[in-house]
Order: sequence, then structure tokens, then C-alpha cells
Amino acid sequence: MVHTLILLAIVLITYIFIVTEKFHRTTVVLISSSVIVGLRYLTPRQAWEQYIDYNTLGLLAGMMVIVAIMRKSGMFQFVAIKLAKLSKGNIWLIFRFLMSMTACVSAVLDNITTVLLVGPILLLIADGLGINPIPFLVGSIIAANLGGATTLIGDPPNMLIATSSGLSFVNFLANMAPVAVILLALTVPLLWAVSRKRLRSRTPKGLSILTFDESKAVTDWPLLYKSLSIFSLTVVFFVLHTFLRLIPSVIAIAGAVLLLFISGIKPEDVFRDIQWSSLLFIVGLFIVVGALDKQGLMSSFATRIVSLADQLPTVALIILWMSFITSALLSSIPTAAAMIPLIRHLGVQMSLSPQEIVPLWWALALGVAIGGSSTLLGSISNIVVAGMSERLGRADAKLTYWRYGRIAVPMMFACLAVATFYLYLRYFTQW
Amino acid sequence: MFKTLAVLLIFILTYLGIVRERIHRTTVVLLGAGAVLVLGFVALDDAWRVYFDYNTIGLLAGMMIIVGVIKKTGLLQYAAIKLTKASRGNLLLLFLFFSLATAFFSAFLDNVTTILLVAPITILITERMGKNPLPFLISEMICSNIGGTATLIGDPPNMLVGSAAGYSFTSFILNLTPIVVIVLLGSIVVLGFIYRAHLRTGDQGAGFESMDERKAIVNPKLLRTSLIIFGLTLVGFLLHDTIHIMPSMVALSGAVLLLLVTRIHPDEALAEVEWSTLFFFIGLFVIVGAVEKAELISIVGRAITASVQNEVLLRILILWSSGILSAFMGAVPIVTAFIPLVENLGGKLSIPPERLAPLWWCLALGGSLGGIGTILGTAANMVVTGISERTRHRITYKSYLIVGFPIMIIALIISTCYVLLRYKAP
Repeated sequence: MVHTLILLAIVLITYIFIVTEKFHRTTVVLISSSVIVGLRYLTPRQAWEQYIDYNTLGLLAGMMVIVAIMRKSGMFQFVAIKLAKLSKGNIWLIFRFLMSMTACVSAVLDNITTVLLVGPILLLIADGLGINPIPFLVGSIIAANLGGATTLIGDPPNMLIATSSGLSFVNFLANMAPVAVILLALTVPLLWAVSRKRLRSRTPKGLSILTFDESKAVTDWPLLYKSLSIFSLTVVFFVLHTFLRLIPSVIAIAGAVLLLFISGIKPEDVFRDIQWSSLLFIVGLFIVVGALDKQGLMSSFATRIVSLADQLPTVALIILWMSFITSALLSSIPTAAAMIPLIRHLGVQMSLSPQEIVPLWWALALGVAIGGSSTLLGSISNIVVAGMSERLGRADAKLTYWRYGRIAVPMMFACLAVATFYLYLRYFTQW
Repeated sequence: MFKTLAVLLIFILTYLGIVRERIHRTTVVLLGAGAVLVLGFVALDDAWRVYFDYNTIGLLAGMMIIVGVIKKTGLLQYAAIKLTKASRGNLLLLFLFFSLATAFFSAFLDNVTTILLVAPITILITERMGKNPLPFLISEMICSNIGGTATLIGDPPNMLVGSAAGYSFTSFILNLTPIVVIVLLGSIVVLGFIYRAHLRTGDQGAGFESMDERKAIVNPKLLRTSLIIFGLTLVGFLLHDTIHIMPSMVALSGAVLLLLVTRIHPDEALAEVEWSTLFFFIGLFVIVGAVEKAELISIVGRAITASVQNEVLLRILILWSSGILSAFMGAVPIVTAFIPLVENLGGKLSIPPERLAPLWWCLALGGSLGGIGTILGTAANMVVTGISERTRHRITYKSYLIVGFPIMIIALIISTCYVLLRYKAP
């Protein structure tokens, strides 16, 4: 009991420091992890073997390397200038286009790859048009999370849910895609409305990106071809990974290594461009959340809450709301991992057939996706985007916990309300 | 069978790639590791849990961050000016000092920490004098390995042997320190002879006399905090057995504490880490892990131990085979693979424990001194190679091999004599 309280206190303090941003969040989370390991809530071995998810880290590091090499060719500049020109500088058009593109890419690829790819482009466009990139960044995070929620392969929580529930790709598409489209259609205009002021261009027209020559943006065509072909190969392998029996992280690592090899770039030059602080933040987060998990805090909390309800619709709503809150606070993957056994257990306890508990799985998937979009800690792609914004070195463009939360939390509550109605109308109402 | 051959082929190809140096060795090793993973010779899960030595990586990363922050304070410049003044620019004196100091500190600290501090100072001094730093760096590499052999905590092979055989700190000092002193002095003499042309003092040191070492310290406040934390980390290393915290955790906690206290942006501190050296290790762990998994090392080891009945011959064979294999594949995996073999000998040949002791010392000597042989032999070697890439004079696989390998052979010969004379044959 004492240990539980101490651990809760550590997590709480960590949280306060992350939110206030007096220290860099990576420093904070690493300090708490060393305290946790020092007090032996986790041994280094347990942390390493059970809680640090090397799949996520491998995927992230591999894709970061590929994107860092790609960036050197000037491809992102090319795409940014091209897009800006095609839209004739119409920011609303670009905004809508980028958000839908992010959502679509994210439905096919994992969120991390999506934001690594889209992030540099939208930062360049925002910079070129002389506008503050924050609305773009917030939008891309939300679009990546909601877009990823539409398919089985779109994000890690869905993959976890699919393996435990046996739901198919088509099931996911039929049940998640409609609501995700509605939510996106709701958030994109909302986001535009709240952030219009920031999106006013401060650069005189003559200087903007529209006058740039996209053909001059590419500095190294051979490198561009090489990196694009390796990237596409990696994506093809991602899509086929279950057939090939390769895990996505191995594919990403292999792609990165192959590109490093055929591009002949010095490894040092590539490693310099990697967001190490984000990677280490994620390691620290795994350790902190892992300690909570090991003490059984997440599942005992969840069990207690769920046991309050006895009817299926109520249970579904509780799962939706609770996974929303926990994902927002402690990120989506551990939330999904903790909730899945609970839902299976519930099915047995309430003596329901696997068919009958299906709505509970959708409640979880929705809650995790919406919750994961509502704070900066909600999912790993959010952290990656925040890291990107930091690298710009502009105080007004830095995506802090508050800046993100202020825009996203109200919007995600709106989404949660819509999701609640959707669940109720679709699964618990007799037509 | 096919798998064993394929793993062996990947290992050999990777090795050739490293030796040829047409492509950066980190890229080569990562490519080999990628091939091993994609072909499923090692599952990522196993690579992560079993072969990926997070202790080494954590220790390296932690110390690189701490030393990186210390570098920003100007302390290393201070030390460089002070040392040059004290030696009056006498290169031979500096050479002796650096070699002996590296060996001494390596015996009590881990080799990588020693090297991370000593190598940049060396580069500062030699570059200001317009001299080639390589003789110094290579001597430091060799001396850190020799020095590390002296004590239980000096280097990873000794720690492995110590915990497997249950030997104490004192028994390491009694059995290994005498021979280490002989090998060290012999190697320094040989190195001094090889590099005699480089060690002649010219008048290049003159500029140093006018420099004020106190001006070198650019940030006294940062220096104070970082030195306190560095000191705490060293205390943690010395006590790690008593407080039951692994050295890697000590180093990482020190680094994180330093980030917290100095409020340096993590990315700024992380930029000082030699990522390409770290990833070289990671790749090497995976490939050597695949070789281990295919049981190639134990096949070689078993062939040796099974064919020989004579205990004296066995000692010599263990010393030399672990030495040569360590030189090419890294000391840690080799010693790890040899430990169960020596343990089995106690049972199979029914050698009583007291007669097993010489075999353990042979393994410790072979693993630790064998690491001198190539730049892949130990972590410290690879770190120095990485550091040398930032200067105009790069250490390459071949340029090191022609010096390091003969010295390793000499060290192994001296060790053979020592083992034969000191431990009486049954």
C-alpha cells in the first residue's frame, strides 16, 4: 500500500513537471525512471525485457533514419513548394488537404511514419507562407490519430485489439471508419475556426514560398530516387508484413540500414538529425507506465470502475470514457494493453458471447483514439511532432503541453460526445 | 547446417567490409545485423533480450553525456595546458604519462570512462603542437586494456570470470596484477620504440608556455556542478557491488541528474554522444549474437577442450584461443561462451576446483589481453577509433592491426610464460 502511494506520488510529480515545462520533459521522465529503478519498483532487466517496447522504438528509429536521409535530398521542400503553388497560397485549402492526406496516410501506415513524413512538409509550408505552424501541427496529430483508428493496421492499439478479439480488417473498416470520418469532418473546421488568427500570413507576398522554384529545391536527385524507392519498398513490406512474417520494426530497421548503405551517407550525419530526446522520452514513459502496470494499478483501477455497471450499454460507455481519460494521461498503447484483458474478463463474468461484447471493443478503440489525440502525451506520434516543433528553435512555434491541450482537449470532448452517441445509436438501439 | 553457414558467411562479409573501410564500418555492421534479422537467424526479441548488452550501451551513453557536458566547461583544455606546461612540451614524458595514467585509471574505473576523458585531452595537446595524435591514442587504447586486466572491476571479461568462478577482488590482484605490470611495461617500451620518430620533441610546445590555463575554463559554475556529479558517479561505480546497482544504471542516473541540475536541453547533451560508435556496438551485438546462437563459438571451444587431455596444454590452448577469438569478435561474447566450457571441464575431466583456477586465470588473461588485438576487441578500442574520426588522423582497422596485433601476441607470450611458471603442472 505504501509502495503504491509512493509510486503514485512519483507519477504525479512527474506529470506536474512535464505539464509545467520548467524542465525539459525528457529530463523529467528520465529522472523519474531512474528513481523508479533505484527504488526497485522495476529492475533494469524487467524494464528492459518487459516494458520498453523495442518494436515501437525500432520502428521509430528506423523511420527517423529513412526520413532524415530523405530530407537531405530536398524532397520535402519540393513537395511543400508544389503544394503551396497548387493551392495558390490558399491556406484553408492547404489546411484541409494536409489534414485529409494525413488521415488517409495514417489509415494505411502507422501514425509514427505518417507524422514523420507529413510533419516536415507542413512545417516547410507554414514557414514558407509566414504563418505559425501550431494549428497545422495540432491538426496533423489529430488527423493521424483519428485516421489511424479507421483500420486494423492504422495504429498499435487497433492491432492489439484485433489480435485479442479476432475482429477482421473489414470489421474495423465498417465500424470505425464512419465515425472517424464524422469526427474528422467535425474537428477540421473547428480547428480552423479557433486558430484562424494564427494562420494569418505575416510575410509579404513577394517573399513567400509561392515565388520559389520547386525544381531547384531538390539538391540531390539520385538521393531522392534512392530514398523514395527504399521508402516505398518499406511501405510495401509494412502492408504485407503478416504474409512475410516480419514485424514492422524489423522492416523499418532493414529499410533504414539499406538506405544508409546505398546512399553512402556517413552514419554520423544521419544520427545527428534524429530526435534522440523524443526517443528517450518514450523509453522513460515506458518505464514509468510499466511501473504502474507492474504494481497492478491500472487494472485494479479499471476493474473497480467497470464493476460499478451491470448493463452492457453502461459498461460500453464507461469503457469509452475511461479509456479516453487514461489514454489522455498515460498514452494510448498501455491503456489498450491494460483494458483488453479486462474486457475479455468481463465477457466471461457477464456470461456474454464473443459476439455480444464486440461493441465493447469498438468503445475501447474509439476511446483510445480520441483520448490519444487530446494531450501531448496521448500517443507516441504526438511526442514526435512536439519534438519536431522544438527543433525549429522558435519560441512561438513550440508545441508545449498547454498549447496543445488548450486547443485539443475541448475539441476531443466534443468528439467524445459524438462517439458516445454513435456507440449508443449504432449498437444499443433497436431500429 | 545451412543456417550456420549463412551466419558464418554474413559474419565474414561484414568483417571484410569493416577491414576494407570503403563504407563506414557502422553502416557495414548495421547492414549485416539487418540481414541477420530479416533472414530470421536472430529474432528481434532475442536480439533485444539476450544479445543486446544494455549494460555496455547504457554505460557508454551515460558517460558520453557526462563527459560531453564536462567538455563544454573547458576543463579538458585546462588539463591539456597544465600538462604541457608541467612536461615542458616533452613528448616522450607526455607519452609515458598518458600511457601509465590510462593504465592506472583503467584498473579502477571502467576503460571507456578513462578513455573518454584522456583521449580528447591527448588530441588537444598533440594538435596544438602540430603532432600526430595517433601514437598517443593507440598507446592509450592498449594501456587501458592492459590496465583493465589488473583488477576484478577493471574490465568486463574479468567481471564475467570473477562472478563465474567466485573469485574476490584480492585474488585478482594477487594473481593478475604482477603479470599486468610486466606486460604493461613491456608494451610501453615496444610502443615507444615503434613511435620513436613521433616522440622527438621539437620546439612546437613553445606557444603553450604563454597560455593561461585559468582562462581555458569558460563556465566555472557548470564545471563545479558537472564535476560534483561526475565524482558522485565515480563513487557509485566503486560502490556498485555494495549498493547493488549496475554500473550502467549509475552512469545513466548521473547523466540524467546532470541534465536536471544544469538544465541543458537534452538534445544539446545528446548531440555529444557518439551515436555512430553506439550503433556500431548494437549492430555487432546482433551479428555476434547470431554467431553465438548458431553455436559457432562453443563448437570451436568444445573442439579444443575435448581433444586435449593434458592440463598444461589445455591452459595454453584456452589462453590463446580465447585471446585470438576475443581480438576478432570482442572479448565479452567470447569469454561468455568460454565460461560454461571451463565449468564443464571441472565435471568432465574431473579436475578438482583448485586445479581449475589456472584455467580461469588463463581465460581472464586471454579475454582481456586478446582485446588488444584489433579495434573490435573491446569497447574502449571502438570508442577511441570513433573519437579519432573527428581529427585529421583516423585510426583504421589495418593501421591499428599492425601495431596492436603484435603487441597482443607479445602479451600472450608473456602470459603463457607466467602461467607456466606460476601454476605448477599437476
